[in-house]
Amino acid sequence: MTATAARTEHSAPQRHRHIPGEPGLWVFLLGDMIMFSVFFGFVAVLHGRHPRMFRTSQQALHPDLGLLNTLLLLTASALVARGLRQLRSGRPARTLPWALLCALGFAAVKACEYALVIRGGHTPSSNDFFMYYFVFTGIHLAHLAIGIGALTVLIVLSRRPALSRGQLLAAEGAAAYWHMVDLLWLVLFPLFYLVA
Amino acid sequence: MSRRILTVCASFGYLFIGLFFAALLIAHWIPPMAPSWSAERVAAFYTDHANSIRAGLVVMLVGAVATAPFVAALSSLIRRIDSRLEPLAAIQLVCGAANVAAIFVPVLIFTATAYRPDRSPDITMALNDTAWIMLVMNAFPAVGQAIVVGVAILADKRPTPLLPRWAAYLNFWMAFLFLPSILLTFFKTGPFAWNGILSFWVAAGAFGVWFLVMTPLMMRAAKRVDDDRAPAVLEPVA
Repeated sequence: MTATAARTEHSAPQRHRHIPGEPGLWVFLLGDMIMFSVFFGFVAVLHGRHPRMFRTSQQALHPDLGLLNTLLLLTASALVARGLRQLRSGRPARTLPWALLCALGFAAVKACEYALVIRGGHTPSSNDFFMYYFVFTGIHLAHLAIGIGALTVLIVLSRRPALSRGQLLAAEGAAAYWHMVDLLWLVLFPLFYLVA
Repeated sequence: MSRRILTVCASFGYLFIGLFFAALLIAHWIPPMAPSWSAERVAAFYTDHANSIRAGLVVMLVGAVATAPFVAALSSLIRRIDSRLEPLAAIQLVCGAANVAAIFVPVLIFTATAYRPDRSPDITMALNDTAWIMLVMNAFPAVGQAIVVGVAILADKRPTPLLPRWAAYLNFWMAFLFLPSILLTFFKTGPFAWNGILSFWVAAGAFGVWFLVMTPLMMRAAKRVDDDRAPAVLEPVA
């Protein structure tokens, strides 16, 4: 153990690469993304096998709302990145509450879209397209809910006068998680709404 | 002796995983039966494989009990991370106990199903549905367990924590992988059916990985705990 620590310390100055958050967190982030890649695979296979059904089902979705949500998440990610930069340099991070607002906006828009799709007569049991649509975007929404918790942690941390090393790592981890939520949606959105 | 007892208890994780997957193979359940099968096909499966199914179930029953020492060792380790984590250790123990039941009960229902395979196929199918749903849709105690273990590991503030911090994040990921099986209630085909990729294969794989990763970590941690709990010497009764 001490030997490893000594070696790391020794080689640190030559090739110092900063991993955001603590390294262990990436077990979860990468694992989660692997799982979502499997989800994407299911949708791609469905599209390959039943292109017609896929296209007619797709028309029941609301791409304008999907696009709005994409913009909300991208804005939130930009605000989080900016907030984290300010947090690192010890300046007040005022952008973070706006990121939280974007996240809540995403959830509200998604709820409206679910309601519209269901009122249009499409439920998870209608066909495989809607099953995947509801389940996978639902799982993503659950991730977003955890992300709202992560953003709240970030906001609480940003109110402190100075951050310890551990708190800064926690802030970076929360931001990294948020960016993953954004990234997953950036694949889900074209996959369900745009692929033709 | 507590170190040795802890190590032995933790090593039951290997025994469990060996017995559990051996049982699935013996009972011809890899790949699992499909929820889309007709009653006649289900009944025929039980008639054709009656004795291997019965034998596999006995093995799984033994395996279910083998999780008890493992779970006890895990709670003991959580308590040694920090004695203030006692409630987390208790939650882990409760969820672990629920897991024993989550395997035990469906196995006994499977046993009843395999007991008279020549009965009316509809009854066999109803029993078979009940048992499969109980065996696969039992994820919630395991989800709670994985989350609590992850939180306890992260609560370790010492320079070299008893269990490595990446294991905490692995536990959170496992909790996520166990979850899709709760969707099986809606589906008879596809990835979320009880034989589906996400409900069965990913969840069962994650379950196996969880034991195979946690067991050696716990055995290594057991070597580091204090052996300070020797029983007090009692005065002989006069």
